[in-house]
Amino acid sequence: MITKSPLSLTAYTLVNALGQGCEAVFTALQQGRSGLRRCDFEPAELDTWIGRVDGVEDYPVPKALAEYDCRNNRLAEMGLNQDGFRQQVEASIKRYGAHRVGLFLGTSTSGIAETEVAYRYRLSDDASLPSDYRFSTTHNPYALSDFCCRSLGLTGPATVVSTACSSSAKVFAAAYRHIQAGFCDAAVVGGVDSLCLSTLYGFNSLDLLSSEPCRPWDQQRAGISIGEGAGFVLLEPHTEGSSELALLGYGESSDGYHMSTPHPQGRGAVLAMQRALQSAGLSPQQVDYLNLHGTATAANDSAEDMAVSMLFGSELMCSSTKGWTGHTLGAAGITEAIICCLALERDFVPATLNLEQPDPAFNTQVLRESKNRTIQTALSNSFGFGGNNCSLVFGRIS
Amino acid sequence: MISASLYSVAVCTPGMVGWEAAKAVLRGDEPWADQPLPPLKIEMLAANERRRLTPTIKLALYTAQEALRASGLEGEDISAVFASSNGDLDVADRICSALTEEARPVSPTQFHNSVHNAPAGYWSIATGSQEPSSSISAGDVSFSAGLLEAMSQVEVEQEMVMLACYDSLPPFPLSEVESITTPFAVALLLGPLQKGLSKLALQNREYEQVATTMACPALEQIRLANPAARSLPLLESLAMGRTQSLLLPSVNGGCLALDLDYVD
Repeated sequence: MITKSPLSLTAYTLVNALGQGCEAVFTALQQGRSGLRRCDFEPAELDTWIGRVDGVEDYPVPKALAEYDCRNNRLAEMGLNQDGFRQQVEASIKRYGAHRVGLFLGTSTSGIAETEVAYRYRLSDDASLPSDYRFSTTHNPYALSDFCCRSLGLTGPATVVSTACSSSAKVFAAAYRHIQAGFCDAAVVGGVDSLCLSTLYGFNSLDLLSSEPCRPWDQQRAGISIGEGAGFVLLEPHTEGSSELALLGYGESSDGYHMSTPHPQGRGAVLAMQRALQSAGLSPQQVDYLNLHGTATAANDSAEDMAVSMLFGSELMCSSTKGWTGHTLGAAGITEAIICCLALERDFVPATLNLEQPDPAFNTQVLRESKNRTIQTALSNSFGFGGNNCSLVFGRIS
Repeated sequence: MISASLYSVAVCTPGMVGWEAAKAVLRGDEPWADQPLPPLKIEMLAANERRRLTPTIKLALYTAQEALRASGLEGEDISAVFASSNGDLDVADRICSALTEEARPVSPTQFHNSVHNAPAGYWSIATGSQEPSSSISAGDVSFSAGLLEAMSQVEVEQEMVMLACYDSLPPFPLSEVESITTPFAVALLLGPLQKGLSKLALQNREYEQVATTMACPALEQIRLANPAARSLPLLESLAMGRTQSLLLPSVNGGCLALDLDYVD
């Protein structure tokens, strides 16, 4: 059980359509201000809404890392520079040594936007890509962790987890195992995904893009709003005097059902939540808040509702925060993990935005208004294409 | 140190399709010959799913399927780690090409195959497994990162893990900006320690060390031609039936120290 050796969250930070850093994001949540806007991501021409981060286009990466320059790594760098996160990582390097701090990040598309642009500038199908195009430092999935290791000066074990929309939830499990196995003493976990045409037109091809701001759990829900975001957490073994906020448990599972549709009764989702509770040593009654995957597709919300109500009945306080940030895909796990941490530390549970008429077939209690409420434990769900599920439990170590 | 028992192994690369063929080459009984890959049959999947597979997904699934077959076990209770540097660049090429057209007609099948965890998704559909699967990348050193992730799962979660590490040949024009020059996949079925099986132990990560290479120039060339082929020194020791300590190239300039305790 993970509760025998819980990991403290020493520092955390996030950037998304709500703003840069925890204060900006939390202020938007308190003020009820969504980050979604009509799609203005050029050259996309789609009738949809997106959660775009202002200023990514001009955000500089360190000069020494110029070859890694791309939208995804700019967003990563922007994230690393918020909330004093970089300084906290520097302090952990002093404590453990740069080679003893691991780095585990999630992304679904890394810097594929660079390849999209390079293909646009080819003159013909048999032409080479432009000479300034770089693949391994932008498009390759590992480019993200490679860049972040270099930006932070980390030389410990590192990897990228890329399991679609559960990527940056699963990094907590990977980090926990690497620490338990003795390959590092602490770890940076997180995720970064940035807007690109591949996901916008890809989800469009599956008819999963909403033409209005996404409406999780609503009877009229009509698909997702794609967002972008970055989030990072510094995990360290809990010792006296370290942060009380902790990763209490994780649960991973597969649907074994379909590539892009969740199991209709959410059987993999149930298993992921059960395993998370088991590893945290908690009963369902001991969970105070659930941040839903809640993408606002017909299939996800229906399957997740069944899974959640099967385990928790209809009493648990739930919300989906996709209406605030958009679905940040490979960064959704970390974004919502950190929203759970903000809820735990600031006694504030965010509502489900854009929810007007809850689906009458649903049983879960989904918050339509944010609440000032002290909570002790929060569960976060992340489910991805390929039937890849991960649930995380956060709470306090007293 | 963490350790695991090795239940079975499978290899798929030109000139070494299947563990028996690979063993003969790695022992030096047969010279390596550059033969194109035969069509890879994915018998574990139903026909309607099989139709959607790309060459990269087939390469990964075929190799995992062969390792599972060699173990004689059912896949239902087995977790999976799929490790690949690039994922599916044929799919990325098709999507990026479609995005240059007027209406940007991305195919739905291409899109759901574009996720890095597509092979893992098909694997869980094929085996009916609800056990966790992870899909990772660590660039050129994806094999050692996959091995560390898989063995830490065995150690910490006490479960059986199928590790499949693969990269296929990138299509033009991405082939011009990528260093992979041969397709290669390896699958290892790992589990908690069990008497009578070979044992793998990962010691730690070491710096300022040189990774173990292949003595045979043709095989050393393959080792460098694909991230998954960084597994060749381990495969050679297994083929020779040798107990040996190896250094695998790892992230951030380190090496992963691997001890193989061979049991016939």
